[in-house]
Amino acid sequence: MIRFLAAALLISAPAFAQVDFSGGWSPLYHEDLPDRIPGPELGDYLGLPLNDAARLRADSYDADRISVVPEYECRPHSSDYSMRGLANMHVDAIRDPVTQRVIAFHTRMNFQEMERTIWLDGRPHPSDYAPHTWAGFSTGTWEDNMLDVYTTHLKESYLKRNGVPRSDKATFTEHWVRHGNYLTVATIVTDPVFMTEPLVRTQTWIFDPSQVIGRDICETAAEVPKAADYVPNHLPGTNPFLHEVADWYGLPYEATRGGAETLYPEYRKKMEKPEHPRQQCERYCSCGAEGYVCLDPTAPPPKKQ
Amino acid sequence: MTAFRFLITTALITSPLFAQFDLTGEWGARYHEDQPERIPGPELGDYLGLPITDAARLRADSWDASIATLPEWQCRPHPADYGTRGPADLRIWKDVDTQTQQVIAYHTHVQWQAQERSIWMDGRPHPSEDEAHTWQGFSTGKWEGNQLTVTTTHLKESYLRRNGVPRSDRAVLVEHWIRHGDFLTLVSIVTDPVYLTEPFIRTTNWQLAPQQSIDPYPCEVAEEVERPEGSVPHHLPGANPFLSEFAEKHGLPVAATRGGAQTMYPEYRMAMKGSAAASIATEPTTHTETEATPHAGIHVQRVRGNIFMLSGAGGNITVDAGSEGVLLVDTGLPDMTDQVLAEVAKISTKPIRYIIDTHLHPDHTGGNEKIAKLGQTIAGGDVTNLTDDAREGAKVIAHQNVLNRMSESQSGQPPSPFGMLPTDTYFGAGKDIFFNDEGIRILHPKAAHTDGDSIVFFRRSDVISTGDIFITTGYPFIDLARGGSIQGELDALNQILGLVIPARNEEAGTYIIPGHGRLCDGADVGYYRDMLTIIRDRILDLRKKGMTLDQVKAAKPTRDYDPRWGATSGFWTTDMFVEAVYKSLGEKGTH
Amino acid sequence: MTHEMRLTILLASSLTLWLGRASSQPQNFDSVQIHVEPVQHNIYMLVGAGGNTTVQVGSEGVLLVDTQFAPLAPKLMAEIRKLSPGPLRYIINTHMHPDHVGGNAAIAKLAGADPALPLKIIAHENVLNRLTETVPGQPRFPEEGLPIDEYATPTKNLHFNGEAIIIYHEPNAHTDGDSVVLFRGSDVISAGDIFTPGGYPFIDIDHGGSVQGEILALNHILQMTVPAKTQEGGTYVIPGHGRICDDADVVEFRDMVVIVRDRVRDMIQKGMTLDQVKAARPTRDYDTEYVTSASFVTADRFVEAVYKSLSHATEHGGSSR
Repeated sequence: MIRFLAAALLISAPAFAQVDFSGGWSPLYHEDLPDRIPGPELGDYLGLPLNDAARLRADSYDADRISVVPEYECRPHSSDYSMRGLANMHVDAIRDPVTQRVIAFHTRMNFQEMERTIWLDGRPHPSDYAPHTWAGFSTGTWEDNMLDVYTTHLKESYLKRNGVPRSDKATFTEHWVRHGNYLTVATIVTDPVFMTEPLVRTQTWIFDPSQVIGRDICETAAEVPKAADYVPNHLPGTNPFLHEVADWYGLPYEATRGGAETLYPEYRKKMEKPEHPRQQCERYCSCGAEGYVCLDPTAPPPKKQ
Repeated sequence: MTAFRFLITTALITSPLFAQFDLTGEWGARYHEDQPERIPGPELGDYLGLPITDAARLRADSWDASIATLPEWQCRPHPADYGTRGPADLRIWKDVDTQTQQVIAYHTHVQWQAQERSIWMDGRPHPSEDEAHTWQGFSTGKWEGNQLTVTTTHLKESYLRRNGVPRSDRAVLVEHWIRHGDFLTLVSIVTDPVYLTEPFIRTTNWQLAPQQSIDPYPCEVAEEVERPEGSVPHHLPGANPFLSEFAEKHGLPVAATRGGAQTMYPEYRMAMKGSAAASIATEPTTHTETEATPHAGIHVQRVRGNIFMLSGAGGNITVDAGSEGVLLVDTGLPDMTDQVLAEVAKISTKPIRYIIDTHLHPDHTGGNEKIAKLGQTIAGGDVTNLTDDAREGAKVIAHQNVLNRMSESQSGQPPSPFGMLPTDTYFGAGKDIFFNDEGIRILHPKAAHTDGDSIVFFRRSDVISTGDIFITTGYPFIDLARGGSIQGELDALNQILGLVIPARNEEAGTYIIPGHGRLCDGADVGYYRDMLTIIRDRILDLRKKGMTLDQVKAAKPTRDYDPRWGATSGFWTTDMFVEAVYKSLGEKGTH
Repeated sequence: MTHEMRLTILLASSLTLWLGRASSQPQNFDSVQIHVEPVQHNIYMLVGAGGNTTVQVGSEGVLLVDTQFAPLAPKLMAEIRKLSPGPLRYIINTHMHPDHVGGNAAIAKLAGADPALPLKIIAHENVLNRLTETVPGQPRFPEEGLPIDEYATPTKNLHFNGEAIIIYHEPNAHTDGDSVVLFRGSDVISAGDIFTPGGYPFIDIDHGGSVQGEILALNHILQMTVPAKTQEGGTYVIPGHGRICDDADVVEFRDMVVIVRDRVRDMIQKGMTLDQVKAARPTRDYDTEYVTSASFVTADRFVEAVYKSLSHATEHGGSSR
């Protein structure tokens, strides 16, 4: 009897076992808060499986670019990153009126109004010649009560907001899991141009029916005159900021340069000693403590009640 | 005898209403009348038989045939009044209403430049004065006995004769089309209050030619001569060396060749003998000050797609109404705002999102405060919780210099109230926005009629709002006190012409909404640019000769344009214009 | 194979044929399928072998930008006829390379000409000049395919199928005869090989190309594009090879060219020779994106073209900007 029940439970759920993701979801930033909210430090490539090309692209990046080059001002996050930062999200289920099946989920993120449609109706991805967009083109299939989403046709964008690039040849896979009032999405980015292996990150939301997402309009305005062919960048070897992360946090410089090796625990065995070890925390010390969302790196920890 | 009288009387009774002659068919042009003028062409300086004014004479004396090689001139066709004179094989066909069997319209196709005209027979009215003028104009016809009398208005400026004698855009053409068997005779009468002292009559003939087949006549502009941008060939007053050639060649007194109404009548031969003392009528019998009387209230003119023009509330207002809301270019006079809003609401009830100010003058910014307040910007992204009021009111966009000048006191006037000020300024060459499904380019020409001018280019709709850089009602108001200059004005007009692409024969395609006056296209801006370039060249020449401002004014360098564009009273007179040009040419007369 | 590999192989083989060196295997066009991609409003993009073909259709007929290779003409015309039966009135060539002009004569012939509505083939005068040069050992370019409606001014305007079309000459960009075509009503730009998102630009020094001109041309394209919302859509850009793009995609490409130029210029100012610059690999962070094993424009080739453009400028007294 029990064996039968167990077997019944183990049988894959029938094709129609689906989860409803629709509703308002409020992001929880406890995971990777300093990276997602205040933002990553220059030169911090920790935990990213980068190749040398990505490293030099990031070392050459000058943050001036997003204010000096007008075409950067209103760029939204691409859909993989938009799940990370300022990620208040609303999900709508779109149903086929005849079969009542969900044929797509439509998501809208607060920041820069990133909208995405995840097609569940089996349609193919567009041709190689179709335009790429920030959102990309997404299709989803159910794996029991987990939704696997595959996205292609992405514009070039970034993995981290300090210049680490993500190419337009990348694709990403997501696994959407709803567990009660929590939604967790695991995002796996595969980029043959800039990474040696897939990058896995997770984000979590809590269900929030009272959430209201408005508009987030951006209009380009040239505020700084610039020469027509000027693109802010650091020539190779000239970026003066790359040792800051190691110094501020007492880390070995090599570790901050990222690469697949640095993702795994075995790396600690061969990790160098830091050049400037720190005895106590001096930066973002209070992040996440007791729910404290820090923006100011030097703010003292909240007083204990 | 009585019977005979009766027969004659019946013959003289006007034919009943439906006695019409069918004008349709293929008509081969006959050139026996006026052949040298119509085919080889008139000689320079030959104004014989034309009842022209002094202004027309100077226009013609200034004309340099090279102007026909400018890109804006190359594909210009003859207008309705001249088209029947030049290579003029003609086809006429008609549209007939199936129910009533009445002719709705006659259509003509003239050989040269494949010009087509519709002559409306159904009693429809002529369009408003804001409607664009075309080469063929707008024609309506009615039968008078067995002749078709056609009245044509809304003609673009053009020529009476192909040696530079102008015909203004205020002219009206009346034609009488008479078919007699296989011959068609046209009597055409041009009345031009600007350049003619009396109506000008010509006749033209065709013979039925059923085997005729008129070829297509495509024309494509090709720049074959590199010349500095904005150059307009012309002769300075008194500098045209060709004007006596015609008289010498044909043994005529020069004074006779200068034309004028009295040279048309036999009595002139008495005066002609022996001297050039024959006085020549100068002023036209009617003098037109500025553009035709404005209509009472606001007039709405659809331009194309989402774009409308509102006139009658001060400066023209452009309305772009679409799915995202409404965008206005300029807001008119302050006391007309309520009416403006009422008219905009008839076009669209969606919120007003943007106001773009083409410049700071009060007849263009008067409605800023009230209209902006009623509008609604789409705002959001309130990450810092400080942007509560961002969505209140429409965005008012203008060049930075507009804000600078409006917020300080000017010429003794206090600064503008805060609500009138632009909220979003830009500097540099321009600013792009994307609204109602098209890219909208706001371009800044420097030091044009003020130093804060914006031109608004609706790229997909192919419409340009020019503000007061281009008007059809008079000379441009070059506001020296606010940074305007004649050179900047000319550069701005050339910039606009650089954006214009006409559909065919220098007509339609890109439409232009001027700061004041009717809807226009590239040819109209071309004429304005030509006129101002010629005037600038003349005043510059006089400056270089050492003349003072008063001497220049006395020389009347604009006299051939004054009847159409000048004013002797009011806010902006001809003298003030000449002074502004003189002063903005600077100390050394440089640009 | 991916479209980038295909394009680079074809570009390589066509160029070797063009340059008169020992020809490689004649290209097999039989297996090439034409892919039709609608762009926006009146505009379609046709991908075959060779450069992308732009098709504008409407009530007045058909206009093409670039014509690929002669053997593909029947397949291209078949697809064009599905889009419109109207007369072919204009062919515009963005530049003289054979994968863009090769089909001119064949397509003109297939389209058939109505003498009352003749076909006009338009290109910058430098294209006509080069196509009419006699190169020993090379067959003459077929006369019916020559752009005898050439222009020599900075722009040429047309009005066709209800919209304004502006052809801009981009001097000394990837060649000295480059044109960029703006379809103003449809809001689409055909950029030719000035913009090739799948690979480094081929700066053809022997035919008048220069990196300075390439950068000016890319900036000019950016000046013309107006994106819709969030820096996306609005004006679409059809590249010489590759997918349909928009403003942001051109920005990435422009940034890459500028940054590589900045680096090579810096090295020239330090007195490095071409070999030293190549050895320093100034493109190594872009190679993974823009170079594959079959690329015609390798990193070395690109660096060499940039180096030569900048050195040429300084030699002749100009700034190496």
